[in-house]
Amino acid sequence: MSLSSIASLAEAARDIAAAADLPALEQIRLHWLGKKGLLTQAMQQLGQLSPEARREAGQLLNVRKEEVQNLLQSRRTLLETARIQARLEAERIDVTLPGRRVALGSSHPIRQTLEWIEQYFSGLGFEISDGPEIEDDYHNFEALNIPEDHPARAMHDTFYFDQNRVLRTHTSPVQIRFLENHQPPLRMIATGRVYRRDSDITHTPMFHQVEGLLLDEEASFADLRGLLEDFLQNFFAKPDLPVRFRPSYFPFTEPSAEVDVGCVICGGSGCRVCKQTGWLEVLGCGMVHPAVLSGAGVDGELFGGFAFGMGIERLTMLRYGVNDLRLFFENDLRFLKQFS
Amino acid sequence: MRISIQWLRDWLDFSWNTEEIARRLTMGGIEVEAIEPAALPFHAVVVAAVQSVAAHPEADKLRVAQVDAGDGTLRTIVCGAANLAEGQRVPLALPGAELPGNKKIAISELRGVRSEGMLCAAGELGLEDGSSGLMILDAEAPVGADLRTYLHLDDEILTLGITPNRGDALSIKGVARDLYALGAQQLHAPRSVTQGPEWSQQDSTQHSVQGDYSVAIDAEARTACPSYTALWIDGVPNRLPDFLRERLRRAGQRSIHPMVDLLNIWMFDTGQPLHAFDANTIQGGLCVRWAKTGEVLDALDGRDLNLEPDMLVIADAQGPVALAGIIGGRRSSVTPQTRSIILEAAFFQPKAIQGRARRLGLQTDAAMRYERGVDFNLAPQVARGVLAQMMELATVQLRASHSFTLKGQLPASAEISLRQKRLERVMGMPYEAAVIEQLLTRLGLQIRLTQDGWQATAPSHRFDLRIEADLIEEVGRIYGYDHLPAHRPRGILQAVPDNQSPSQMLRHILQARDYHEVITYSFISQESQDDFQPNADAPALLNPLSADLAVMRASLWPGLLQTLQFNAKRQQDRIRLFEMGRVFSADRQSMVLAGCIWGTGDRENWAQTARNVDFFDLKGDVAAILALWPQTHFEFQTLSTEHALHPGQAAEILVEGRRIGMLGALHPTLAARYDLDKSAFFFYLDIEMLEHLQKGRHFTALSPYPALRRDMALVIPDNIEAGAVLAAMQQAASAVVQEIRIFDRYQGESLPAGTYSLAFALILQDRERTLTEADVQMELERMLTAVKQIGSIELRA
Repeated sequence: MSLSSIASLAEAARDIAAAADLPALEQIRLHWLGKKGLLTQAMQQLGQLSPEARREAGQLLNVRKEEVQNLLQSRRTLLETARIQARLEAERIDVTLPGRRVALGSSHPIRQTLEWIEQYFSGLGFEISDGPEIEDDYHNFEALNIPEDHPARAMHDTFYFDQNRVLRTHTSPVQIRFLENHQPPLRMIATGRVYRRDSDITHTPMFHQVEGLLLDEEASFADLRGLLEDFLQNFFAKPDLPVRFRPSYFPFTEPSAEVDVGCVICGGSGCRVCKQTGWLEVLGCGMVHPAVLSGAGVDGELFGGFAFGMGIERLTMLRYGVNDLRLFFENDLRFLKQFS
Repeated sequence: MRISIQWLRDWLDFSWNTEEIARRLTMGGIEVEAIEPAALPFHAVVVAAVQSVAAHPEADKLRVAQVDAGDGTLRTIVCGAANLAEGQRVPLALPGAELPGNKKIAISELRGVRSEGMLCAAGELGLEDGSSGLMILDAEAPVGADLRTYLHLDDEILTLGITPNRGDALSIKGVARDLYALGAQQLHAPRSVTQGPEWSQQDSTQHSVQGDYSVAIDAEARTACPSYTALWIDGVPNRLPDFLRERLRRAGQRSIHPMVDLLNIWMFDTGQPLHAFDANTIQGGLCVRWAKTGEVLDALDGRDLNLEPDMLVIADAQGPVALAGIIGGRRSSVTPQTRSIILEAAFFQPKAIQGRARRLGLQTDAAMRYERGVDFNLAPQVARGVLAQMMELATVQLRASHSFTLKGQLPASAEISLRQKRLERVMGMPYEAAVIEQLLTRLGLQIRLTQDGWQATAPSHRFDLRIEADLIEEVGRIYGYDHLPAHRPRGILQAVPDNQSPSQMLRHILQARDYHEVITYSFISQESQDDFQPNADAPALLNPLSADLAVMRASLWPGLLQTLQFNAKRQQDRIRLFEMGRVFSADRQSMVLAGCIWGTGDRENWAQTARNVDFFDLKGDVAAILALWPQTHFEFQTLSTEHALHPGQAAEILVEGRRIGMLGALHPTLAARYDLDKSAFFFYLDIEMLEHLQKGRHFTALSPYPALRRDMALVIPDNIEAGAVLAAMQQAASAVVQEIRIFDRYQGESLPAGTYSLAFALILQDRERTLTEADVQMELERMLTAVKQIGSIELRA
């Protein structure tokens, strides 16, 4: 290119505008601005001019070079944007297809209730304890003030292995075992399977209970009421849930009470579940019987306290609205998956 | 127990309605389980007198009666009842009447004879009393009276749940006593109880004789039977009046014999069990004694009871005629032919009765009361009342009487002290002294003041009042738990000891891996036990509910397999279950975690090809659990001898040589037996053993130097397991080897027969410096040398 022709770079502008992609654009850049590019060569020729012409032509060359560079840059930007656009377009997916997911399993609803209750009471300083399911007569009955032939034994339809060994009929023997190696003041909670020889639409031969025990210097029936009221209102997530203590009888507590809550199904107006009474019996409790304390070597004048026990199946049914006890032990996945 | 509100009025004056009575009883400790009307609704049924009965001209089975309904005209009624007879008073449903079951009565023609109403059987009025035919009313029943009014049918029945400590409440009288303490106006004794003929009473340890009649209390039995009254009575009622029959029905008791019915009514009324022997069947007087070994009682329920020496009997010269306080014998029972009876009213000590009925498989009203305690002063008094009422009902003569009480052998009325401070401390609320006194007095206790409270004597009907706590309960329940404030327990703040069990963590890991927790019964059938562990020594139940629930499970797998089958049959295609529970052996009941997988490896989805689960899916899950104990080395060892598992796809998990678990494919034979068309894989882990493993984690400083990866492929003879190769490499590796990973396994044509190839990725990193190629080579050489020592293993070319 001669210096005279650099006044017009229409050719460069045309080529740049026509560049279809970045490699083509690079070729154009080399053609004009590369080491052997036309403009580069023109620059090299400046030395042959007179100082005056050299200045004039140099200025013009720089202007032209900048113009070419600008054109290249804007074309490059345009092509890059187009290239990214094309890639994005090609990579488009259907995000409404389901994800590649490991499904979550589930905890058995009974277990969920047990865990909730354990957590509630351990938060209040109750130690979680445990005992055997094949239990001896002493721990299951005798030590709980239920001597042989006592009419209260008829309350428990018992599975026997032999004269002395039974399947525990309640979690209360854990109280006795706990007292065998703990000194008051103490707070204990025990959960687990219990067994009674009974099977119909509202009874299964195996079910779950939670047992609680608190012994302290000052522990009253009113404390028990306050504790259980708070527990039940939290459990059913109803801060205003009515809770009622009703006198009852358990050989190992005195005074004893059954605890009712306002029916959580109908709100107390009466329904099939609460047998139109507006109340649901949910647990049993009482002050630990002096005979149980003295049997465990605890001075009943110094320490007293309370125990409570509840059936987990019933609480779970009420909590989730499960209408058939047997579902818990059938383990139909369609049932279990509802508790994921 | 069922009680009628009307009957209650015999004993108690009150102004409460039925709902209020029910509420007070329930809140006083006697739970009202149901309230029902004494009779279903019906109307326009009146007492009618049958004036004449004639044959029906057209039908053999029907008769035509003329009845007087008290309105001055005779009505013609066609009736099919066989017991219809002239002179009877019977219920007549008038035209327009509506009977239970929506039965409407209208004038109708029966085989050509117009019938102006219907004569009713008890069942047709909903008054089922076990009788058949027309309901025959008292001969004195007022003609024309509305039947509901006449029989006082507008009454309500409460069904009560009486707790085992409250034997005293197993009667109308007992319930009335509690209601009195709970605030009813007045408690009184009905006329029939307070009046009656006197007889000479004795208090003697000698057996007494009057005429030919004797009662002997064996010396050994005197503690068990300190009070016994026997009355020889000629004449028995052959019908009870309507109001008594109604009482029996309202008590829920079927009619047996007028005499027996009367005694049952008295028992429901007062709580005193009574018995009548046919006097003519008794040979040579009565004797109360302990049974002899081998003696048998032919009991009223038709069974032969094998008596034991700790069972108290009433016997005559021929042997036992009754099991004391529990059930009578058939030989001496009252029958329609009975003309004279011996009426027995006794007090038997609860301890002498308790448990015997249950042992014999019996449940009787008498046993229920005696076991819990019957008022020990009641027997002679009730005998007197019964005699008086018999005299009103029939021509009756007292021929001989025998009544004695050994005062020294009666239960002592306990002297119980009640401290007000103690009461208030236990209950957590204050009580006014005057309130306590009134309430105890109303309960029938005699009280006197002491320095810190009261000294109380329990009445003879309360066997459950012995210690201070008993009185605290009485005050609490009668005053009302409604008044109990809701306080919060106070105590020493103390951290709960860390719950050592990893159970919760294990469950969470499995849930996150799509396992569902199940809970199955701890007892299974012997067959399922044998399917898995034919040699298990787990205890068997003496009294199982069924053969399916007969032995304690030695493994959780049978329950899991049943659940798997249950769900597979319900079109589930991917089943992953686990259970946490105890397994049993002769001397252990240990907590175990077990699980199983079956079906598709992933939920069927658009992004992956479907496949079924295999051993390594399960092993991966088990390894994820075991990763909770990073400091423990768990060894998976081939196991080909486990009964229930595939011999080529099973492993036991060992820690220092001790088995803590197992996993493998269910044996195909067993899978087929449970209709599983795909392989199932089972595992278990002994949680108690896991609990004893060292927990906790230690920080290792991070290396600032780069990690290197080198791959190494080995050709291995088929008889050497990957685990052995890996173990040899791990043992040879120095501390710079961070990880050895198997990333490929190959078997095929390009390898010599009888070999396979494993590709290992080795990650090497030093904490002190950047490793050189020479370091890496040395490490690889060392491992290669080690593996070559266990067999002819070569680097793959």
